[in-house]
Amino acid sequence: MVGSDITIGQYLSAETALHSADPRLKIAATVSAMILVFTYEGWGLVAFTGMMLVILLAVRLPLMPLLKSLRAVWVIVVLTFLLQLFLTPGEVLWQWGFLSVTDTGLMNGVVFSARIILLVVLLGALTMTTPPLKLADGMQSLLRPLKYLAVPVSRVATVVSITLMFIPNVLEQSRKVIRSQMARGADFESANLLRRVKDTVPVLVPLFVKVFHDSDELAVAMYARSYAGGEGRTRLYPMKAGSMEVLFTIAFVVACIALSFL
Amino acid sequence: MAERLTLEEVSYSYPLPGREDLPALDGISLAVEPGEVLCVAGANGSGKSTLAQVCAGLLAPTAGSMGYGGEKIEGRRRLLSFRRKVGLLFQNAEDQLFADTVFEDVAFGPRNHGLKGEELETRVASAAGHAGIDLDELGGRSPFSLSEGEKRRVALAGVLALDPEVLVLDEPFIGLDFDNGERLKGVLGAYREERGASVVIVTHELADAWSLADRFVLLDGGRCAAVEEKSELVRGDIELAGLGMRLPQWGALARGLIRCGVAVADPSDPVVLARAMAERRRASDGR
Ligand SMILES: Nc1ncnc2c1ncn2[C@@H]1O[C@H](COP(=O)(O)OP(=O)(O)OP(=O)(O)O)[C@@H](O)[C@H]1O
Ligand SMILES: [Mg+2]
Repeated sequence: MVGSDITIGQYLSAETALHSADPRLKIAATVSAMILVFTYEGWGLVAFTGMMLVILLAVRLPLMPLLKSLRAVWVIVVLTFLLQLFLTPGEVLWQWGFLSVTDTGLMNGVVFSARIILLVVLLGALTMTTPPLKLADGMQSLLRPLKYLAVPVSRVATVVSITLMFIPNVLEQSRKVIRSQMARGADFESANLLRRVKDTVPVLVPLFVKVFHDSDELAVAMYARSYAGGEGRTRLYPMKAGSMEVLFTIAFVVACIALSFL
Repeated sequence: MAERLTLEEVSYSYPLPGREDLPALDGISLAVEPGEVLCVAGANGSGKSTLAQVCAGLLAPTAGSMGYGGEKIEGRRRLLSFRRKVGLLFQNAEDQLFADTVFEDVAFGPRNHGLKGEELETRVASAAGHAGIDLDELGGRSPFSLSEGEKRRVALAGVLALDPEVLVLDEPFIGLDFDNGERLKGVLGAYREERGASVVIVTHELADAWSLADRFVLLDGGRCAAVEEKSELVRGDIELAGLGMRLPQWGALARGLIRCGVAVADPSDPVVLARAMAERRRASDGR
């Protein structure tokens, strides 16, 4: 069905070791890896990809949804590859008119697009295995030191978690509007691209209206249950990191750092 | 003419990311005839809404085939023209409404069918009238600012405005007060008569469709448990309690009468039932 193949950022309920791991550790590990990915070249990238594969396979995280989330960024990946390929100076490998491919260009193309793919996979693995609320809890806890700089950490965390919670809602709402319009004669599967683009405008406007309406209702529902800011709220399931989890996280981060010397 | 809409061994499974597909319909075969009112009934989660969306061409069967007017629905062109013939009232009015104003929401379908100007206004006005919506009062308001029952009626007007040959209504009576419920029954009956349209009423409460429907499709866990006429339901050929439903009160009364040996012509007409009861009394008094 239309629009149902966008899976980036969606939580996928399952019982893997990654799902049960402490969100703070997952966030810390993901953020470190995401930063370090930018330092990897050639073999570092290969080794890191291998390590990620081994981890994902070992915890039996379904890979298909993760790969599907790449569909959302393939245009960026391809563009990056092509720009690097053609626009980097170096030793010319191949020339066609004004277009020339250099050895550095080829290398850079592969490296840059691999980095984007890895970033999406890392982020995808985090959001797929961590429900938005836990993500926000983890973030809030990691950012707690900022409180002393007068940053309203708990409010920021609430805003972030609600925003994350709304991603599936927005997708669902857009599906609903599309379905309703399709039932009344709109044609979203037209081969005519212009017609398709034209038909998305009447979807976007009501989509915004509906999402605003929903967020309004959410605010009312939260106040109706005495929500008054995130400060001092207790948790049903306090976060607890097992010693094995901590060890694994440290090992992972150390490995990530080591790979940047490859 | 032969059947209007046919389903042959139609199955549908919802894809769930990262998990096995969830089967919601399993091998459903049925035919909707011109001018008939068909009731699709079943418990919560039995697949009624899924079937309604399949019938409206919104969900493509994962197995089996469908036909319309004797022709198989294949390819995009046929699918599009098929969708135009069928109107679906969504179970949840909020899922169906999207436009800024009530008028625009009702007009969305006819506009897609190419109606303009006066023709469009007439169509919208007549659909709104049938659905019990006062356009002068509500036409300019946002559909989301309406009461639940008003929303449902606007959604109904949006479907009637399509002037469909097959009208599929998913739980149309939920949330309507008595007057509006009766009006809807009148509108559906009249629409069938005047337009020769087929009406499919999806409900979990047989009583809602009792007076209107000719045949009843009973769903059970995505399968078709039975297709019965009213008289067969009254006779008790199938155990309704196991399917999460019950016989409407008139039907139960008719069943009682039949068990006492009284013939009942129409188990949905209170007058017929009263006559049968009087007859029964006379018979037992005379004995
Ligand atoms: N969008 C969806 N994605 C996944 N599964 C779904 C979806 N919609 C329905 N289902 C599942 O399909 C089955 C049939 O659902 P359906 O909505 O057709 O039932 P129903 O008979 O209309 O129920 P109700 O009386 O509650 O409206 C249920 O098990 C439901 O969980
Ligand atoms: Mg339903």
